[in-house]
Amino acid sequence: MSSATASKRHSATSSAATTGGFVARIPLIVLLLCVVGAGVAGYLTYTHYDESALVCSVGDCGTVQKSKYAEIGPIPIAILGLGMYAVVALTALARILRRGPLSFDGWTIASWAISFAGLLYAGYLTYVEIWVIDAICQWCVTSAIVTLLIVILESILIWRLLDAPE
Amino acid sequence: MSDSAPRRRSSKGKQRPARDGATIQRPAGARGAQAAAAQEAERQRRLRLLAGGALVAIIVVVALIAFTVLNDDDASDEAVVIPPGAAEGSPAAGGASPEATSAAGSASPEASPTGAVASATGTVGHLLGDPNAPLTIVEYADFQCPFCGEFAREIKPQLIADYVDTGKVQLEFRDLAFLGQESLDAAEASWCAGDQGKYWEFHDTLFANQSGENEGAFARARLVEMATGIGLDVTTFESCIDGDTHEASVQASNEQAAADGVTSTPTLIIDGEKLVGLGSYDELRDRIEEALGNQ
Repeated sequence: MSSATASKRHSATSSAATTGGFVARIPLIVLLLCVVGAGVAGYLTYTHYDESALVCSVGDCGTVQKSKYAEIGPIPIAILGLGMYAVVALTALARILRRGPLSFDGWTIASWAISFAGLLYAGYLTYVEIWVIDAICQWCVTSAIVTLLIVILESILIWRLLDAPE
Repeated sequence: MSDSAPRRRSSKGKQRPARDGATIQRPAGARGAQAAAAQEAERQRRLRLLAGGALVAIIVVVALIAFTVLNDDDASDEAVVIPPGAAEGSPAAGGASPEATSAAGSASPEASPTGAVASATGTVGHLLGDPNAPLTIVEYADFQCPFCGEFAREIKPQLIADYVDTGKVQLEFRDLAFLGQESLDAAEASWCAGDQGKYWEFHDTLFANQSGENEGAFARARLVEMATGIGLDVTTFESCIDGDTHEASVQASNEQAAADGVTSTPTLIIDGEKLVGLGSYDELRDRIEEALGNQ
């Protein structure tokens, strides 16, 4: 029975790999998107803390970054974004390497939930940029789009795991 | 695997519709039913996990948004500080040494024709110092920019004492109000104070009362309190700010900043060269001396 379970798990974890190149590569694509997103969030974190320049720079990013929405308490939201990309990247890595305490599908559900939260918040921030602050920071929008892409990709995996449970 | 839509199943262990068989192979008989039930249970478990994950995500985001909105840093209730030199009835230039006061304008109210100069000289700022000074330094700043505040509080008084009061430099302050509504409101209010001949007193008071950006530091009530503190006619001041009397003045100054290629604050223009950001007084002094040498 145990060997049967093992083989079943194996077939489940590798189901994506055997049923289509694109789906099989989703964790890798998610990982790359996380690298892009972390780069953007890292840049925004840097500029948020960049006091060495000792200037207030003109431009919509300056306005957005100086708004009250750019921080939750003492924490710049750019750091939250950085954290989200880091955690999602870990789930992607765990799936690529097939390591960690969760199954492939467990990591997928975790990644989906985290990136979904990120997307909801990014959506709220984009709303704030357009309707409240009246300034669009292209870097923030880039991050929102990257998060949207991650959620779409994870949703494809979710679709499949609901469609074909073990 | 090839199904294009997730199947909806109402209850476990029920006989499945035939079309499902195309996707998931099940052995016939009791074992088959058992396997199918297990499969359905697993699917239900994942759905619950997913719904739970989505719910947690929504709760977390709503909490974050609520925290941002409710925990709004509100500076509008903070006490207004009137710098000693800007206060109503404060000693005139001769009375206080420039170092003793943080007020730029009060250091030399008599020697310096102050006020808006948009019409007289074609500039869009406020002047301080001798109009015949060999050098004019243009400063672009935003009243909400913390580095402009630091410059105004720490460096400008020394600049004024060493160069403006001595007739070597005329200072022109121009608005580059870009950090939000309160930047515009503060700038317009400063022009309203200028209408009553107290531009520099208000300028100093604004910079003495910075508190975050767009968090109420320059809310209307505080602007009025500042006006009262420096001895402006409050009724006139209120009608000036409420009527957006100087909206166009600030706009013109902002446009001039763009025309001058100024993209950050504070920026000083000394003899045609830009000095960007908050630097040291020594650096500024060297640049001024160099520019004066070129005159």
